[in-house]
Amino acid sequence: MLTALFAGLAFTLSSAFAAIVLGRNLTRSLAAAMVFIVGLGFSLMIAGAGFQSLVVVVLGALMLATIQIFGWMLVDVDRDHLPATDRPTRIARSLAFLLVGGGLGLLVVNALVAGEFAILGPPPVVATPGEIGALLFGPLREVTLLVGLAIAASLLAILLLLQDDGQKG
Amino acid sequence: MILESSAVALVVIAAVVLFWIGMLGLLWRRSLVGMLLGLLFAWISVAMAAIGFGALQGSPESAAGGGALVLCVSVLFCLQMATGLSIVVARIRRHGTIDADDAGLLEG
Repeated sequence: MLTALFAGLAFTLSSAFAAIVLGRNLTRSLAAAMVFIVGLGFSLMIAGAGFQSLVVVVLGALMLATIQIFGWMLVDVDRDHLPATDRPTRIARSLAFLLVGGGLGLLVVNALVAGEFAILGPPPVVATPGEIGALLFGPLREVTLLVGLAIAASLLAILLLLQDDGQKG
Repeated sequence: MILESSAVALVVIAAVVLFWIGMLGLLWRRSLVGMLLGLLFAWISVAMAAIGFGALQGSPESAAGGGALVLCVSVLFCLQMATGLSIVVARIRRHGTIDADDAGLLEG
């Protein structure tokens, strides 16, 4: 099972990387991202990660479809039509990217060291939807209320941003 | 449902690499639509890490906490994506471009 999971995750991460580096063509990039979503669902299913993984995969596919619709409406899909980035900006972005990569590399090394203790610890478990619902509407009901307020505030912000759309041209 | 610890560790490490790929998209892509794609990967990596760490703790309470975190983060990410796409639409209407470098002054 671990070999299949490792292969699935490697395939998934390769697709995500391809989706980023194929940036000159939005359609190719989105196709690689769709392959990523499929690989992610496959990998999490092999890992037995429960219904939370289903939520992540379904919402991820939904968001990707939204990006695809808006991207095809707004962008020339064949290329970005953007001028080349100037040299100082390229250097600054490379340095920032290396710093992020270095920090995450240190995190993985420490996680591998700590993982030896976790494997010796209690067996991992996955919660059922009922347990999560009881938590969200029980001890965490204030968090649920805040999420509801965030939904209302975001919808209002979107309405304000798009209030004139469609009246011009 | 019981997960093997080594499988969970693999998922957590993959989440870290996926976050790095998402950061690559945010730092390297200049198209606002491409940057939203990078954000999508970063969000999925956070959800994967929450699932993995919740399962690694070994207690039903921590697993339910991880699941609740995944649900809250997922809803907030959907809101963030919808707001981001609205900003892209508004920016194209006013300035006619999706180049993130031209949005550096944060002017309306």
